Amino acid sequence: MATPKKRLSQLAGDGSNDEKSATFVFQDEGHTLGNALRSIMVQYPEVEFCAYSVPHPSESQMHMRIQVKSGRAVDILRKGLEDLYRTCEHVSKTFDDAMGAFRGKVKMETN
Amino acid sequence: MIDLYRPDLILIVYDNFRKMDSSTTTKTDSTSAPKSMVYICGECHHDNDIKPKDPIRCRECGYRIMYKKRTKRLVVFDAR
Amino acid sequence: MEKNSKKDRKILMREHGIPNTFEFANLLDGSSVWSFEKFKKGFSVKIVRETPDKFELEFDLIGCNAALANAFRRILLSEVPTIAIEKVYMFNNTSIIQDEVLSHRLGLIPLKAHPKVLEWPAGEWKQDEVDQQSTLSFELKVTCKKNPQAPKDARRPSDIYLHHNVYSSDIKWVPLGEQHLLHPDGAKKFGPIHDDILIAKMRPGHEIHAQLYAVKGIGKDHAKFSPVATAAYRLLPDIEIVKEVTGEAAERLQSCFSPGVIDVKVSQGIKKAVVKDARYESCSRNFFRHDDLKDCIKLSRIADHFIFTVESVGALPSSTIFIEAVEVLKEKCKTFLSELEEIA
Repeated sequence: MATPKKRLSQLAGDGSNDEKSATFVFQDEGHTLGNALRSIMVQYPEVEFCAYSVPHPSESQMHMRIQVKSGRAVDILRKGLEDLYRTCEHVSKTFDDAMGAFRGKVKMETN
Repeated sequence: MIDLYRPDLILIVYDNFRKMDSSTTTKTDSTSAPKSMVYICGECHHDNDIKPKDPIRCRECGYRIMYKKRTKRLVVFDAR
Repeated sequence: MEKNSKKDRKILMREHGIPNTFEFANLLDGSSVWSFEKFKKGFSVKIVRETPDKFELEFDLIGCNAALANAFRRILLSEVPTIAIEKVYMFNNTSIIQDEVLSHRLGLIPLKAHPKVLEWPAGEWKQDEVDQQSTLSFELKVTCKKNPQAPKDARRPSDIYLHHNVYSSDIKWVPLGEQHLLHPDGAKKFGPIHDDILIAKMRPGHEIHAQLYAVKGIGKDHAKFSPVATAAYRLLPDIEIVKEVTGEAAERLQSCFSPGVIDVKVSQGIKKAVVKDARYESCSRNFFRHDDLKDCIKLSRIADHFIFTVESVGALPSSTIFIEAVEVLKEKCKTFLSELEEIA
């Protein structure tokens, strides 16, 4: 198989507000990514509406609905993913530093 | 008519049934026809080598009900 | 969350309910806008406790929101990969434990192997050609015999029989293909974490001979692949004594909370209750049962201070598991970002 399975798609809208509102479908994702991503995107000033749902627990699909006041919904999704990525990087680095400092302190106390 | 005082006759009849079974089923048997199989006695749990047409009887205690050993074939299980 | 509004973000625990669990109450007036810089400024990690074997870790994530903390917790439980036994090739099992029950037990035995050692299984399991890049093989071969050197009056099974108990220490690593070159110390590196897990009991004449194949997997697929015994978080409790509690009531108040939370200090002959350390309070809200203490205490939780406890099963140290979990979330974002590149 040359191309891996496409995990992100968009639901067909009603054509009235095409770029400003969209529902994105994530395959094999659930509350783990959905809630984290939503909690970031809902705080953007351009966002009019942002919510996620898991339509049926037997199907591992996650729907993310984004409605923006200006711009494109897909750009907000990209910004949200990028922000979540940077957040994880920062958490990872902060945790690493704290772990190093803690282990160093423990070593000094036992010596 | 099967005479109840001729137990060896019963065994012959039973042996005929056994022979019938092996001829109707398509078994991929080994080339040597008199291949003996090990059966376990139901009472004393002794291993008995029984050849085809042998009387079904435990060598030690004379019990006439035998159990087959577990297959040597590979069985694969999912550890779930 | 701005630092000065941290104290406002307290989740109050009243006698008959929790009035303010809504996370984004501050969104209604448009004052809270997400900015990565704001997050960076308000976020910190504090490591509190690590056991010497590194398998239990208690740390704090301060300044993050519940969705992110929960995402990490969910990933710790179900999406960090581990190695566990997946296929059992049963050659002979004459014990009284049924084949499928034995296979199920073998699958649940935690293995020492680091998941990075194996690649993800390619596709369907091929019975005859086992892929050495994605599989580790083990062998379990035990026969129970009568002990010829047992004294005449021996009564304990451990004296009369040899190998009557099958322990996880009987599982031995068998290198596949070139694995003995890649992992010369494999016999020590791969294998069950604990040697004393009882797998089956046997009597003389019983034999178990099986070949076990272990692959990489995630907890979402089967719980045996979860790297943590458990991973959980709770919010930091906060106790505020609004009305002074003295004398005998102070002692009573101390007993209402978990030990070590409330201290009774004596000043000028009067016993006074003070909050020593609210961190290990279990929030039983016992003080609501006493009418005179009900209105003296304000109990709440700090909404963005998460106390994580990660207990590893033993394959990986807890700190490694948490770092892996953050990596998994990063990978998810990366995957969808790259798909977005292609569409838009």
